[in-house]
Amino acid sequence: MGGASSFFPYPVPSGDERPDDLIFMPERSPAQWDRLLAFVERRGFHAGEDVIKRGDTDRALYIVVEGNLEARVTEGRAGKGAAVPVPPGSVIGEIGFFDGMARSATVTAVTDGAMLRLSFEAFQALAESEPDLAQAMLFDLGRILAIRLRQTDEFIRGWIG
Amino acid sequence: MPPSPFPTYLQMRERVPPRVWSAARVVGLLVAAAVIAALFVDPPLGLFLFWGLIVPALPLLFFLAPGLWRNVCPMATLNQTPRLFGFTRALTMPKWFREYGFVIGVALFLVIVPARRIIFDDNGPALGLLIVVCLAAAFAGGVLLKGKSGWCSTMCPLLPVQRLYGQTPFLTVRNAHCRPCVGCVKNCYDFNPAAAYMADLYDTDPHRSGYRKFFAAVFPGLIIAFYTVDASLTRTALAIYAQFASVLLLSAGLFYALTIFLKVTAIKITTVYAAAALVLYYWFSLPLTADRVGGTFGVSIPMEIVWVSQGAIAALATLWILRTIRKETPYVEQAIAPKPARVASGETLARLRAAPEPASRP
Repeated sequence: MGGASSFFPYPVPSGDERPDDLIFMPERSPAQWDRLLAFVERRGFHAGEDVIKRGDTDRALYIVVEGNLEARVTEGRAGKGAAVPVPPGSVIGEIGFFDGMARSATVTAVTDGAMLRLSFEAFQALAESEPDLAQAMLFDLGRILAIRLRQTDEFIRGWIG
Repeated sequence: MPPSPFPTYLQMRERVPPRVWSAARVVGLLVAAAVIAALFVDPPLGLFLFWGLIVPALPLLFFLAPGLWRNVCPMATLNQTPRLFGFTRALTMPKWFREYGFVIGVALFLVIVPARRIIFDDNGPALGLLIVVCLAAAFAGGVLLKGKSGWCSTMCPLLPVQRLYGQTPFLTVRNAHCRPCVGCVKNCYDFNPAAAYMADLYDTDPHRSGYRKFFAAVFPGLIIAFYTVDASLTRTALAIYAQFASVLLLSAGLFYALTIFLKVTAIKITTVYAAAALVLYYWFSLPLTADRVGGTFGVSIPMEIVWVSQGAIAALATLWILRTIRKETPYVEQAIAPKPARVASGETLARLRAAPEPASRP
C-alpha cells in the first residue's frame, strides 16, 4: 500500500517517515537470481502502452528492469484514477499470479523500457527443478502481501476513526 | 495519461518567476515593518491597518489561494532567510517537537485570539510587540531547523487555519520557497497542498489525526466566542478565557457527537466545520469591517454590499465543501493502492537487466 507517502515522494527521506520499501527476495544470492533468470522472458514496452490491463487474466509475474510505468487500480471519476509510480526494479502482477483471477490494475508505460516475465507455467517448471528457490519466492511474495494487508488494516482503522 | 488530482509542487508549472516572488517578499516585509511602526507611533492607524484591513482578508486568502500567502508571508520570509543566505544550522526536529509542534501552534492560536479581546484589539504597542515576537521566533526557527520545520510547517499559529481552510484551494500556487525540498516534515502542505490535510486526517497515528480533528472541532466555537463573549473592562482575563473555553467545548462536543451519530468519515465533518467557521467569521466580521473602513474614509458602505458579500462567501463555502468531499475517493484510492515491491539493490537490478534473451536460454 502506498499510504500517505505516495503523495509525498520527497527527494530525500523525511525525518519522521518510516522506510516502507518492500524488498523482494532480499536474501537471495547472485547465483540464485541467475537460476531464476533461466525461467523468465524479456519483454520490451513503449511509452503509452498498457503492459497489464485491469480485467485481463494473464497469470504472470513481472520485474521491471528498465523504464518507468504507472499503475492505476481504478479509472476513477472523470478518468482520473490514482496513479502509482512503478520504477525500475519493481515487482508487479503478484495478486493475479497467486489467485489466477482478473488483473486488479492497469499498468501503463510512461517511458520506453523492458521487463522480465515469469509465466505461471514457467514458475511450475521452476518449482519442479528448483523447489527451494520456488518456495523462497512464494514465501517472500506472501510476506509482501501480508505486510500490505496489515498496512491496509491500519489505514482503514484510521479512516473509520 | 490524465493528470493526478494530487500534484506535488515539483509537478506544478512555475507560473511566476522566482525574482517576482523575491520582490513580493521584500514588499511583504516592508508592509510588516510599516504596520509595526504605525502600531507604536500611531496606534489607531496601525490597529486599523492590521485588524481592519489585513486580518479580515487572510481567511479568504487561505481559502482561495493559500499558497500565495505562504510564498509571501513575512514570517515565512524571515524563516527562510537563514537558508537563503546559508547560515541555517539545518538541524532535524527533535522528537518532542515533531510530535507537538502543531499542538504548540494550535495552543498559541487559542491563547492569542481571546487575548485580542483583552489587549491586542485596542493596544497598538502590545500588538506591535506580539508581531515582532512572532517574526523573531520564525527567524530563530529558520536559524536552527532545516526547511520550514522551525516555524511555517510546525508551530506557526496560523498554520492550523491554513491547513484547514487550504485543503482544496481554488487557485493552487506553487511553493516558491523550498529549493530544493529537504523533506523536513511529514505530510508537508507546501509539497502537496491538495493531499496534506487528508493525509494528516487519515494518518495511522491517532494522535496526529486527533490534533487536527480537535482544531477543526473547536474552530467555529472560537469564532462564535470571539464575537459574542462579553469582554468589557470590568471582567477579568480568567473569566473571559473561561467563557471562551465553554463555547469551545460546546463546539467540540457537537463535533464529536456528529462523528459518532452521522456514520460518515471524519473528513466530511471537518470540512463542514471548516466551511461553517469561514461563513461565521464573515457573518460577524463583514459588517464590522464595513463600519470600520467606512468610518475611516468617511463614507457609508451600504448594507446590501455586505449581504451580497456574505452570500457570495456562503456560496463559495458550499462549493468548497463539495470539491473537498469529492476528492476523498481518489485520495483513498491512491492511499490504498499497492506500492510495488522491488528487488533489493542496484547490483541485483543490473544482473536482471543483463539477463540473456530467451533464444539463448537452455
